[in-house]
Amino acid sequence: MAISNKAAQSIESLDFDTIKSDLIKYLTSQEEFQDYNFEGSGFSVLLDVLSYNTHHMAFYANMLANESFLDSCVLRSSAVSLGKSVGYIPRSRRGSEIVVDVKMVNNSSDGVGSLNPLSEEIVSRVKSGNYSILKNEVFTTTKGGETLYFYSVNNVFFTYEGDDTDGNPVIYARNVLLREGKLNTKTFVVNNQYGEDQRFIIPDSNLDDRSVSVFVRKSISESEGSTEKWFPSTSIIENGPATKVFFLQEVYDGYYEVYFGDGIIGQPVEQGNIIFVTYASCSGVDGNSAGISDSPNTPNFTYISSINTTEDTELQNVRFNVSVLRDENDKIVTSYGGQEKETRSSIKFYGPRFYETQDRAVTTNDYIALFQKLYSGSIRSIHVWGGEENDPPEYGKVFVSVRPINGLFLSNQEKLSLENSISTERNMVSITPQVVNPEYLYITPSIIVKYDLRKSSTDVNVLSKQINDYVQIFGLENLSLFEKNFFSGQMIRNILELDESIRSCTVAVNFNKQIVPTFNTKISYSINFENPLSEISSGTYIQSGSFLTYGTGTNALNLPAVRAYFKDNGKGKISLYNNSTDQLIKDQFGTVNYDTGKVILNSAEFLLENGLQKYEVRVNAKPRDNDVFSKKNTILEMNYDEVDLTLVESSTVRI
Amino acid sequence: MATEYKYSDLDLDFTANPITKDISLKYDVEAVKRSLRNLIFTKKNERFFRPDISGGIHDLLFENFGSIQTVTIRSRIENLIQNYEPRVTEAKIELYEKREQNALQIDIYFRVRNIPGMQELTLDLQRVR
Repeated sequence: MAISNKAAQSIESLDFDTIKSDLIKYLTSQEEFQDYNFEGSGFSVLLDVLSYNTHHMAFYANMLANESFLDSCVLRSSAVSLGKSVGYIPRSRRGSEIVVDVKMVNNSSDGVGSLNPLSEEIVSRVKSGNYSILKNEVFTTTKGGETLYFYSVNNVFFTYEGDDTDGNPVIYARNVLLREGKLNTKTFVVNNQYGEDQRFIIPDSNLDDRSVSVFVRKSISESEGSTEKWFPSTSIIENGPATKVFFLQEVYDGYYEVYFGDGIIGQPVEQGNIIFVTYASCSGVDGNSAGISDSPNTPNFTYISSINTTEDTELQNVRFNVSVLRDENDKIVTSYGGQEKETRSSIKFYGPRFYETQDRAVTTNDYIALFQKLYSGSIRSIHVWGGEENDPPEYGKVFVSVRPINGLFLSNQEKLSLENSISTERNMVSITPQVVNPEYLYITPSIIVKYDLRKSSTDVNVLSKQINDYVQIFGLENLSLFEKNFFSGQMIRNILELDESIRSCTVAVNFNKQIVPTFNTKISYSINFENPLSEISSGTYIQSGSFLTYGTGTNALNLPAVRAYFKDNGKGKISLYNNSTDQLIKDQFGTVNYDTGKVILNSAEFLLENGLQKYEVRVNAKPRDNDVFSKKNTILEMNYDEVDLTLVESSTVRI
Repeated sequence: MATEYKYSDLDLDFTANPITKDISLKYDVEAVKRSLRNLIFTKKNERFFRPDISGGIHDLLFENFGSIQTVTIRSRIENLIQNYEPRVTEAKIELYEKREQNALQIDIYFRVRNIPGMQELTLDLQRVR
């Protein structure tokens, strides 16, 4: 077959069709075979096979190259494997956590509608520290008709807390941390016949890597008591040849592998050793929000204690009531923090960044990377700063402000959990991380749009809806995160582009902050708008909503509670006024700096109103120009309910 | 030598030329007939990335034979020729039931572009066991 040297010889094609057409082009330069262009010809079939083979190899080579780099891999297993080379261990599925109190009670009835008190013997044993909730004891609950299993994370002792009003002893195990997951044990026998090929793989991709415990017994003939606990390796520096540690890693198919030292770093396991791996198989995010309807009459959690398994007659009627912890507002703190396995894109993003931090929290970016890794999926936005930037400075502290995915604030328990995760091993000595709530600055835009419907087929209601929808989108896309600023020009530009009928648009802005009072206590409050302020009405730059406080009277010890508000005098002084009569209650109530936006209230006392557990006091102000900047710990949030939209038909406008 | 022929194709039987010992080729009308045969006997999804190239005969394997099948086979072959064998013109398809032999005979009468004369291709579909 004579082939001309001039024939097209393309090597760039990767897909089947182009490869085949290149081959056909190549064959046009010979005369022996003419039928390559007809689909039914034998030569066409041959070309198909050649093209398919070339395409297959090209795809394979491309895939191989892609999967070899963290940047380009498309399989999660490749990202996991490549993450290992930079010391990054992807997060496993995580069981949610919940804190409960467990009360010990006597379940036998006294015959007149009450339960018998716990016996003196039991009280005495509790005082001696005989009873505790052991680590890994099982609690159950239901959510959406499904049973969820929780296990205790630590040992917690029952303590005698005195007697109740009826003189019966009160015994509790308080603040018991439970974690969602069903505990399982996998057993392996070390067999040297397999040499280095023996792998200890836990065939469960729902494993929570925090729950893994490893116990090793020398051989099957040894007693149960000789089983030793081996510990997870935290640093290779601490591992000597005889250190009993294990390592855990995710392997190719999403399962987890336990492996051991080589005799230099960590002690190896030996022929005949029996390895028991205990782990929790968890439900991830499905375990969140359990315990929501918990109350004394309908407890959501049940606990069958190991105490009940003994044949001691004293314990025959002892039972346990589990109650979910409530926050300072008496709201149930449901289970939280359940997460799915880290995604491929998350591994690709955080792997290199985590490598930069070297698993140490030193710079602010280190804190951000570590928190995002540990709690990715739960954090919407995070901001970190050193205490020296505070006013007044707080040296030796690092402040971490977190906006969660759901809601505006983290619960106290969640904050504590975040602090502990970083303060124990990762941050610098003498530096204390403190997780704080973000501050929200609510923006209320007043939008005036002039339109001319002759320019468009839209009607005014559609136009109004279009603009309102856009404001929602603007808020979601441009605000709601740390370091996101509000630029009115950006909003105006985009509104003008919404429809051809819109001829002009102006946006004026007001903003407000909320004071969360500590009720019935006289303390100072400081709120900072962090933007220069302008007058909201003649001589007034800031004005609060109404709240309950003490009014004036002759008897200083018995002042009447009145509804009041505060506002400034245009010269930096804030005074307190009666809400109904506008009568001055207190002249020197606080100060405001119009250039910095900082408001200080001296010795303010907010009173709780009847029927309310709490309320917030709103402080309204207006920025000096129509752009609002988010600084430090502030998140700008659109006040969607109060957006003021005015539509003016341009034909009625006289210029 | 090769230029004497309008069409030339590989013989998928891959028999050797007895003289040159090279692979034997099909020329002109024979090449077109072989192409037609290949197309008609191609199963759906047999060709890489071209599931549409198919005679569709195999799909009818377990159907009871009748007038509907006759029409179906004829129209499928006509479409096949129209779409994938531009060298064939004026194709006329005739089907003969051979009930005694449990067979079906397909006769295709056609002309080949640039080659004078009417051509005939006969294909027998027969049970093998």
